[in-house]
Amino acid sequence: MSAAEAWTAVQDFVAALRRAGLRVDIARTGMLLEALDVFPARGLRAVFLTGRVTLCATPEDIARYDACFAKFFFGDDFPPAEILPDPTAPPKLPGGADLRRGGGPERDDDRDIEMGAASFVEVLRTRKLSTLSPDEKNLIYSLIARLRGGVAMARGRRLRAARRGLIDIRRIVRAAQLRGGEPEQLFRRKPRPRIRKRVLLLDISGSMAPFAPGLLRFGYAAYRCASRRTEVFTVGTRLTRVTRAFATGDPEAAILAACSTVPDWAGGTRLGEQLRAFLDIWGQRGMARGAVVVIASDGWERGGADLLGAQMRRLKGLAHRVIWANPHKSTPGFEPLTKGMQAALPAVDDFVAGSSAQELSELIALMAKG
Amino acid sequence: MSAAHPVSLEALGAALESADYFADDTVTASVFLALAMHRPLFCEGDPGVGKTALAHAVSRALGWPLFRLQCYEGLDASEALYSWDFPRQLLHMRIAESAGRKDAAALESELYDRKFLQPRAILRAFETTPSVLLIDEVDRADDEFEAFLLEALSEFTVTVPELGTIKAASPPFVVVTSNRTREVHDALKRRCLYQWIEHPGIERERSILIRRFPEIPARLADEIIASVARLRGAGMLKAPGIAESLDWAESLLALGATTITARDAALTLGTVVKYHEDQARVRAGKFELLLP
Repeated sequence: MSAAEAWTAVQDFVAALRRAGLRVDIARTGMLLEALDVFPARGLRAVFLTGRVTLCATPEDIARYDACFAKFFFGDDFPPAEILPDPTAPPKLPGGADLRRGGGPERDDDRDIEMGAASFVEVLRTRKLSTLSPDEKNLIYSLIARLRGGVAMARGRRLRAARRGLIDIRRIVRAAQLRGGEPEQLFRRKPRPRIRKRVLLLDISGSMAPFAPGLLRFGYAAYRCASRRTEVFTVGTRLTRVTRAFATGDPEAAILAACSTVPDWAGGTRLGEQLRAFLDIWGQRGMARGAVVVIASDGWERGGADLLGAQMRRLKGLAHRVIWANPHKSTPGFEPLTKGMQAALPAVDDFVAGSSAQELSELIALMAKG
Repeated sequence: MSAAHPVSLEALGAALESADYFADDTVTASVFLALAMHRPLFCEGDPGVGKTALAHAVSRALGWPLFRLQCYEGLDASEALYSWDFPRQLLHMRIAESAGRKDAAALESELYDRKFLQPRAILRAFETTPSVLLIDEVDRADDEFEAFLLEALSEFTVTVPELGTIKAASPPFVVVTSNRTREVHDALKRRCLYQWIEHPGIERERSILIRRFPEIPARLADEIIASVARLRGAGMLKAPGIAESLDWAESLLALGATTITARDAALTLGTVVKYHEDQARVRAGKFELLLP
């Protein structure tokens, strides 16, 4: 069984537990994955033990869990008492019984569950966001919201004391006054580096709908890396600034707050117009100057491509670096053929993907490069 | 002191056994996971099944020092974390006064020095690496304390406003026990691994008895185990746990018994049946519940 199939089996089991009345939330599923990852043994018994300690919360849960486990993996004819007290013997499977209810390839050996448990998360990390089931999405979304990366530094305007640099006349004179007018030491200073501004423009139009929730969490993650120097906007039929909504400590609350400020989920895209609005209202006045600007969009443009091209050139002139993340870029055989993409590419410094948690974590690292 | 924890379940089981704790594999697995995942282990079970003993056993098995926090109603953070040693601070001021020091600002800042901080169980466990932290009978503490515990156990840091943040170099092994007199808040449980500890099976109970009292006659041991099992099934107000079995065995041995007679049972009733109503029931049945 591949890791992906094993993951499906575990998910089905968790679903069965929920039907049996256990309150298994996403945090507990995450804990189960973590436990499987560090557990030194493999096999069904390992799944049994790790699940029991991570998914249960009351003695009633334990009883339900034991019954549900036996039923799920062994079928109705095996009362829990027969398998549970014997930790060492491999479980006897009735001839040809499915390990998993509801079909799937036949599995007749408990080693099938000998899954590289760590690789569950790895597999999910590299899967496109658009292909995940709701449960997997929850897990990956929380992973994305917790992504962290460094920040790019730029020369600041303020000066600080340093060994080399400009002569600090004020300080020299001040020190000299204490010594009867004798300048004893030459003080110097140089610009204090400051975090480069970062701007994220996230496309949440209809064609980006499968990626939008993940991107919003990515926006939150980037915001948390440097909250005072990061601005996040969503782009659809309208331009919405969601930075303010992110200013709470709790990722999910922030995402919810951001969602409620976005009026145009899954509408059309007028990227060129929105970019112009951004540059007119915020960008040209300073927000985009010397900034690292990330545009996450598939480049489907309803407005004219010429407008988008012109605005991209304008952006290029203001920003320090322009990164375009297109979720379809990692699809085999992808060519940036949409008109919008064609128009925008000449003004883009880095053209990257960004459709999976893995690619998004690469993107956040790229944003830290100077 | 060994810093490394066992790498296999068998090694952990053997280490626990050498510390006189006979764990079944659900317990061994949960201890192993708690160690590996740096998560607190939330233990529930009837009184006397060995929840507290588990923390002591892990401490002995790994050679990690144990810090115990006994919870009670009204327990607050200052008793769990730290307090300032007020008398010593006062003494410090007096000495400074008599030495003629006048620099008030410097003196004041000296008052909140590390040496006047009295660490309590949680802070001490965080400062000692590795260590075992036992938070006993958390169901007796109140909601506010749980909230506080949730905070301390999720980050393994303690903030002293006057000093700054103290972080555990590596998280201690935390055992939280509860007798379920009150349902503990779900948020705390969600941070923890959950272990329900059962009454030991016959074989395990025999192993425990023999380990504790190597000289116990085999017949007496069997009789004790059978009687205790009968009591547990009899719907007592307080079913005897393994702690009661051990007490009972100890007192029977002290009387020089090799088998349980009605006289022995009457004399030692208080060690195994600890509620007046239960005792009355056993007496009314002419000790038949206790006799072989």
